[in-house]
Amino acid sequence: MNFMHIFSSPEVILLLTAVLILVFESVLTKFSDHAVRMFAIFGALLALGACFCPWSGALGSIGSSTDLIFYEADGLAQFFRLLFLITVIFVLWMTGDYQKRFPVAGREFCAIPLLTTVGMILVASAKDWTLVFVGLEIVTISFYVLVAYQRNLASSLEAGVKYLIIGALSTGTLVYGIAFWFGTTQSTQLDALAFVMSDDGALSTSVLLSAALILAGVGFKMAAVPFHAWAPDVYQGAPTPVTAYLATGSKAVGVVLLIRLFYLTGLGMQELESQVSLIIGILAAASLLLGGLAALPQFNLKRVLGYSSITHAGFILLGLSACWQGRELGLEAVLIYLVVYIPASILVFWILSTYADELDGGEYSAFHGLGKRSPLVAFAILIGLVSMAGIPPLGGFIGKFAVMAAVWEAGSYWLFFIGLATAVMGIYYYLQVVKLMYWNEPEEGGPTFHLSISTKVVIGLLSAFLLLIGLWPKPLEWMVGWVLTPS
Amino acid sequence: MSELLLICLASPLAAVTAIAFGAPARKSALIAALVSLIGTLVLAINFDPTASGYQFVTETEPLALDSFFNIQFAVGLDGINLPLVLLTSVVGLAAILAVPSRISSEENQAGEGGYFINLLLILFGAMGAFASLDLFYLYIFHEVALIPTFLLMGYWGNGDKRFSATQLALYLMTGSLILLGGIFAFYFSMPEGMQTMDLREMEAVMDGKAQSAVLPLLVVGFGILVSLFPFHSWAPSAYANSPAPVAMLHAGVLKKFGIYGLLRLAVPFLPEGMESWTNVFCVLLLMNVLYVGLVTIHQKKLDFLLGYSSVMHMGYLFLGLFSMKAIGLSGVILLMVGHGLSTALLFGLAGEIRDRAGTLEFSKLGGLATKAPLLSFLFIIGAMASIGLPGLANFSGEILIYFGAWEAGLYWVTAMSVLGIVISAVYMLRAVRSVFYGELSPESGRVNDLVQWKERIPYLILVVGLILVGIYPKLILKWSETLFGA
Repeated sequence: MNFMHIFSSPEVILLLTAVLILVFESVLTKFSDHAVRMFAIFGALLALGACFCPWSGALGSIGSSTDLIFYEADGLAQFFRLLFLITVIFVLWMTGDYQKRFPVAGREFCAIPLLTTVGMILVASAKDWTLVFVGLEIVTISFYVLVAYQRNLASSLEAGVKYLIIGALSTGTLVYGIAFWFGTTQSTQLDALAFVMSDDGALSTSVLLSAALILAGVGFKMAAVPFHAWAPDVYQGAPTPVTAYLATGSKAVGVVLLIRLFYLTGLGMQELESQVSLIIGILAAASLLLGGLAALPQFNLKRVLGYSSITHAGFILLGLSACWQGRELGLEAVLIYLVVYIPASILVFWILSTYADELDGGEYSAFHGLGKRSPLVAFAILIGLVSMAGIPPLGGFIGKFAVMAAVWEAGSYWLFFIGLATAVMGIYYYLQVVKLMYWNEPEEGGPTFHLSISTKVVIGLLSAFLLLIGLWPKPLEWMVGWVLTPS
Repeated sequence: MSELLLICLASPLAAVTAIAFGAPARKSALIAALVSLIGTLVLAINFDPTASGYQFVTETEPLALDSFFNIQFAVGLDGINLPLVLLTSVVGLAAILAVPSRISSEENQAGEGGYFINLLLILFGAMGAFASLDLFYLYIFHEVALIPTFLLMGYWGNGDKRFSATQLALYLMTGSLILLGGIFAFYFSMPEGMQTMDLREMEAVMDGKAQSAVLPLLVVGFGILVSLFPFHSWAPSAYANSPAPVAMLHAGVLKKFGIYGLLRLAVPFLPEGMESWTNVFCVLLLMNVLYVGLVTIHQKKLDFLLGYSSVMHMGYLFLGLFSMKAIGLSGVILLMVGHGLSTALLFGLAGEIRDRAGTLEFSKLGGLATKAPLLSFLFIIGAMASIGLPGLANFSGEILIYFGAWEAGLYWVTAMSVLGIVISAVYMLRAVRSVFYGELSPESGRVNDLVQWKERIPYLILVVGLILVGIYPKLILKWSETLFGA
């Protein structure tokens, strides 16, 4: 670990980019917003390159000895790094139109998502609770700022306060859980439980208690029931690019932590695994049903996406609950689900962010006859929503297919049928928007949709990805194989 | 030769892409449908009925998933799906030619592209579902057709179109997801190491208990798609309220997917499961024939009558399946073709009458036979085929199914379902009488005959098919002879 290693690791690159933006903002004000954003995207791209850089610290591990490793870049970490970095590039790209619309958004609006990503990447590679906690706090605190960013709007402030209160509470439970963990295992390592278990074998109450508390903390990040209460209001109130990042990045952070905690380090601990699987299964079922039912009567697409993101958390948890006893299908399913869910989500949020005024903040009344007013925008929404609904041949189906298969293989038939019911509800509320766009006639004098080049590029890229991956899932197989192969 | 099947499958998709980039919609769609039809005809001529296994198999290696469910993208034909692929391309061409006048009118120039894109996607889905040799792709292709059907039905349909379209989407999606459960159950019940999604590699190795557990999920899942009683309520209103070409494709072709799936999975791999559930499903299929048949008699509108009638005939197909005899299964294949052709013909012509008269209520129609003789003649051929008149395709299928069921010892079920022929004669003849005979009503007076050749061709194609298969059923049966060993 030398100087070169440190400065070529993605975390440091992102951090430096963010700091440079903040410094330059106060010193040199003549740079345009556009240039600042390009610089931020450039930083993220550089970090993306650093993930593959042979001499960078990104590929090594950091620890005081071979037993005590704080940070390690294994396949899983690499996968989530790429996921976070690609997501943040799209989010930063999305802020362009947003900044034109809301001049209050200063340049730090480009810097803070980079900091959030630093936290996410740290969590993805962390092997020790201290680092996990630091990473998670970086994520959460930067989201506090981002969610309440439009401080002149009541809805944004409301969202900020709700996110802050529930977020602080969840941090509390997480720390409490970590404390129990440390008390039981005498170690802050994520895989410490394995050593304790091999000595003892019995499952102490404190381990279960700590697992439950940690689950509560992570459940908040993923917006899983019963830690979901913030999601709909925050999704609607927060600036749309931030909502997009919450729906994708924040969820994936919770997923990577759960995978590390219970499945990669917990393999072989049958008793704990089956209990944790059951708890996760119950959380999944509750998230699926509540999210699905609550989304049915909504009349605002952002709110629908808020509730449906709860059901997506449910589907991800469904996959996680199915991968006990060394079954890898559930784990594969979760990774596939994320890879197909995130692009669909970004696609819809991109449209909602770029055409926030034209679409009246996602109110259903603004979607009438969109198929005639702007065929390309309507097509993008169609692809995004139909993919999220999990209808073949779009990518979203592959995710649902894998998750449902894993659940069936694990023998949790009740979870399969809850997933089935939720998927049918999803058809209903996602198709609601599709109906308005294609069946209704446009109103006279509606707003016109100006298609910028970057919008066309994003729509083209993401919808091509969703269409092709559904008909040709082979890359997903390669990806899963690459992630789960022990290096 | 083997790439030809892939070309037939890809041509609708190519046309969709072309239309999306501004090619003339109607011409592109027509070319795609013609390519598919000629291609499948060439394949049918070159098909070797004596060979066993699948022919013209094309595997696309890069599409295969080896570690994940052993999914292979492969297309191929045998005696079961060759008739269906042929049916798809024939009905597909007819549906693309039979454009309702509202859609082809001048003020709808812009909407035409979307209409043909969706219609071609339905065709693509149906072709793919029948041609695929892998469960995963079979399932995906069937679902491809869902959203286009939904969009077309809700936009171009009639009556309570939005309700019907939403009901159809929710119902079919539920059915598909239950079917997904059935597919998982099927897959994971196979012994370790033999689990595969590839139809060519499957073997009948499941033990009887597992078979009985898997079968109901498959039958209910596929059954919802085929409108098996009591899961049929989506079908009549959906077909009645959708534009005629969509009803032609969906009722004529796509609905056969459920029967086809059972023929592919349940019959060869779950024989003991079929046997243990025969009683339960015989009751359901009798309800299809008798109860739905009586409901059909009660209908007061031609489109709903045809919708219910197409549900009713599904009962015969299930009877043939559960007979598990070679002769009954051949009958199923034959009746699928006959029913596909006759239903498409009837729905298409009913659409023509609705376009011209503005209504399909029996009380407002009458005397069409004098006003529009050709239209009436074609419709009556379709109606006779649907009743099961000898000489038309449906008859040979139904009779073989009855033979099969009798041979299997399902005497009571056979006897009661023969009553269905009487029921269908009652409602069809009444429909024919009140629409085509009697006094000419003012609404009927607005109906012109099919004067232009472009109006006549789609229905003539279907009628020729009906007569050809009816007179010489061996045309289709010879392909599946070696398959069931009869």
